[in-house]
Amino acid sequence: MRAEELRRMRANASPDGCQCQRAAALRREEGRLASMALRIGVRCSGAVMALAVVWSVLRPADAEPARSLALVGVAVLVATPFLRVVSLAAAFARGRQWRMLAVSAVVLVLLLAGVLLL
Amino acid sequence: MAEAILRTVGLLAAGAASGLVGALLGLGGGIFLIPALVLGFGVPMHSAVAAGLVAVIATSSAGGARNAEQGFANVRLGMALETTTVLGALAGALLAHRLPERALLGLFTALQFAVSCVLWKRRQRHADAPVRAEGGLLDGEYHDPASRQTVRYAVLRLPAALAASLGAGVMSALLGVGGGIIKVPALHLFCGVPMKAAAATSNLMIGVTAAASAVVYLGQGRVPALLAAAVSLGVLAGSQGGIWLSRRMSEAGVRRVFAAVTFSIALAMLRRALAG
Repeated sequence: MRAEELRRMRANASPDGCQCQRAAALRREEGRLASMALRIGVRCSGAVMALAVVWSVLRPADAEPARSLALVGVAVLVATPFLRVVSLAAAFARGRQWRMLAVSAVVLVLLLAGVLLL
Repeated sequence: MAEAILRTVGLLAAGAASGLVGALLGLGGGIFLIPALVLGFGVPMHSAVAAGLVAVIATSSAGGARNAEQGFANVRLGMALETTTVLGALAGALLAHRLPERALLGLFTALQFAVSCVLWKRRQRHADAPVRAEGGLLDGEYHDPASRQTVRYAVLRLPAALAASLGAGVMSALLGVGGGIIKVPALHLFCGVPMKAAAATSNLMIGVTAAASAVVYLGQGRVPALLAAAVSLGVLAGSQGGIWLSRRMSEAGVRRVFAAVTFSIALAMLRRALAG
């Protein structure tokens, strides 16, 4: 049953195989860019937050520098999803995926409206 | 100093547990973390909510980094649904004080009980088998190491997913939950998205919703930075464990765990609704 389904799936993909491959490559590229943005954000914020936490444990009496450092790490982490949306928008623009680019623009406008409104 | 170390280790562990469950099931994890911080560490509620929001972003970003690259998270579907989620969150924030919380909690609880029963009983159907993608804009594809298959799926009934995301956004703002608990079952049951892809896509999306609120908290200076940092570090580690588990568990396994977690959350919500 499953083998039959797979065979049909491949058969269905073949008439426009070239376009399907291009679409798959585009999706991989979009995933890669989104992932890269998230990874950069997570690593940078993780490193700063780790430094802050270790500092606060080693020198509990002098917590202010650790707190400021932690705030920087948290701010970078909070900025990470925004960075992901922007990098995906860039990927959509590069792949000429105009409808997806328009969707990303709507998300960015709504996020901005939220920040300004709330 | 020993006390500081002990507290930090405890916060890291709480974050790790929340990150593990969040990354596996596509939830933010705030629903477990906030009570743990309030009851276990004596953190005031408003600080716990702020730290919880940051932790949700950590879960989403750490999980998303892997899930997006490997195709588990459908970045296009996620972006499309983020339009209504953010809209819902904005509407929810504006309506927050005009709706009776108790009635909402009751409604939410009934929904959760129903969802957990449906997910638990659900047999292997089209959403679990590779579904032929139709070449649509939002279709997805990933390789599942557990079943050793490349899963291709088409997204069915997009309006239903958009409506669920809108509801998730409103709930998120009103009740302080991530919204994954609404989005994941909706994507799986109505739209034919396999459970793992639904969880990964929801996990990717909740970061944006939480970040929108967290910016406000940050701007108002209401984020307890060291607490949020310690919890988030735990989350970053725990979410790697969640991803590892998700790769090895079967679709049915992930669905059952999700159903069990949904059921226990519904029980907790029911208690809160009854207590008023």
